[in-house]
Amino acid sequence: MLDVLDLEKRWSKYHFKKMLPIYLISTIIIASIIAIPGYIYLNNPELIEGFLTAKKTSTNNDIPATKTNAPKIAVQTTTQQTDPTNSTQDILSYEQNVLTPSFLFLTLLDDQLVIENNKIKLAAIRAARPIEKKVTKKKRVKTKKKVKKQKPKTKPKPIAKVKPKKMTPPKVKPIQKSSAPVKTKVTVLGDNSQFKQKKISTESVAVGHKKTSKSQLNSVIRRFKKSRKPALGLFISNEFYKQGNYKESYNYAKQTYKINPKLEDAVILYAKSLAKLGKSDIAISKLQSYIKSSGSIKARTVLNQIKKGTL
Amino acid sequence: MKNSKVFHNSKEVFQDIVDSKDYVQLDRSMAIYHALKEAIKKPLKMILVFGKPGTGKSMMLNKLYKELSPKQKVVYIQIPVIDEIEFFKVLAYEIFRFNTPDTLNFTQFMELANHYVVEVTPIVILDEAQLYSESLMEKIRLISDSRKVKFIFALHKTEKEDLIAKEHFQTRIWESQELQNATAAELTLYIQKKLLRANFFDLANMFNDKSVKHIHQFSNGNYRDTNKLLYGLFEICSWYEDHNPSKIQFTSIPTKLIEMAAIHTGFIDA
Repeated sequence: MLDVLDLEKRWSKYHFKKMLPIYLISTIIIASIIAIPGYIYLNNPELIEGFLTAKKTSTNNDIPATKTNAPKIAVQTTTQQTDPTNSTQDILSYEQNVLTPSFLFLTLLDDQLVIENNKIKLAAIRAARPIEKKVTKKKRVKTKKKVKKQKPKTKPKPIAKVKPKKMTPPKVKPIQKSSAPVKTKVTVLGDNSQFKQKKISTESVAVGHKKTSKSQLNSVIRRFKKSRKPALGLFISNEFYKQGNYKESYNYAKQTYKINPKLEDAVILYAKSLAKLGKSDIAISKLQSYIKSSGSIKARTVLNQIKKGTL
Repeated sequence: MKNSKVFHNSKEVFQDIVDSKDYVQLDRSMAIYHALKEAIKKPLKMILVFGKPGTGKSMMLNKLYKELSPKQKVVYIQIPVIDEIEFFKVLAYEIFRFNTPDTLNFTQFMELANHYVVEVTPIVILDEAQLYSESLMEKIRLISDSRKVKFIFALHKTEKEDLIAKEHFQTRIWESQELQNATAAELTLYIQKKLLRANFFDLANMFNDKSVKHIHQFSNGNYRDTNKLLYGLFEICSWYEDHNPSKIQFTSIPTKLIEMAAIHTGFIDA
């Protein structure tokens, strides 16, 4: 049953978990942006102070000076024209605003001198050293021309050229049941022992479940749980039955039967494993009801076997 | 209202049923399908179709069966008949309409096959072929060698099974086709075509590249998983449609809902 409200809660948890690394990384970045100047200030406060003072002086020198001077000159001219008595006060105020020359350029010049001296020294040292020629061998990358030996797609020739026959619906001659089977053919085809004599490689015939390992069976179980294919259920049930694990065989046969109640093999396996588990009466009733509906011969033989106890 | 109850019936589109009517024609899968049809025309003994689970093998075989059966004798065994005698009895009945209450072994079946004269070689399609036993596979190979019956196998491709398939068939199979998971672009087409076929035009437009990319992330291009995820998605959408319609946009599928469907169907462990 779909519980969307619970699903929403689960989603919000999932979303939080998903976004957590992003949140963490962004907070770390922000915190580091804030913390780095503070850390520098704590370790070397002079540097920050020097930077701030330098900034102050530079602002005093450049921008406000031009801004303040211009209007003041204008004011002075107007005051001179209007009121000559205020001139002394203006001069005083002007004196107060007199700019002191910055000697920062001297320190800068000193720094530049030091840098230039260092450069000269470095050049002298370099000149004194012998020139080391780096002999670089150009490695020739041997590119092996890989000649792709493409196997010519030799489509095997048909054994015999079969003349195209008319596209008519298959005409099937009914076999006479009474007619005796051709004996020669029986001897040619023989039973399985003859195949062994011919040494037909058994390695090539690896597909199958005769040697179904546990892992293979588990993978089929996993696929069955996912796809709910009756074929897989039947296979698993059959495997467990072969192994003698009748309980599991019963379980899977039941599941398969639920998926497809018309599946004869599922019903038979279900009944057989029930009988093996000692519940023959249930198995018999199940088979009887199935035989009634389908008339299956196979189910009937299994029923007889259960009744006789020869299963 | 145009969009009212749009999600209610749409989930049925993504039910995992093998029916050739639901087969969505994508470029790559159609190319494989045509190659398979061409291979059948050739005088090959065995043809192999393999791929990971959920790549559309059963669906393709179903389509092939539906298309070929009016023209020639085709037997499609979807559920493997594990028992050997039963297998030969099924083949005898389905190909030659020969029914017997007695047992029928390989030798008897071969005699039977030699007795009948069939103009066009009958085709037997075996799904889930990896479930057949070793000895039965050997006998199937012998039947195909006699050219009385042509076999098409569908195998699952796992790492182990891939090797097995190659080892087993390399000397006999003359044609093999591998089906692969869909790319994001193919998945977009798949979803849209499925919805358009069922006349859900509005819904088809709601699946843009971004939303399909999310779906592809979870399903990995597996058609079965995609169906499962979309079924869950439409179930959630229809719930919102009934209880909280303001949360649903009818222009695109929100990522939140896709993720919720992934949690619901088990693709996300939350």
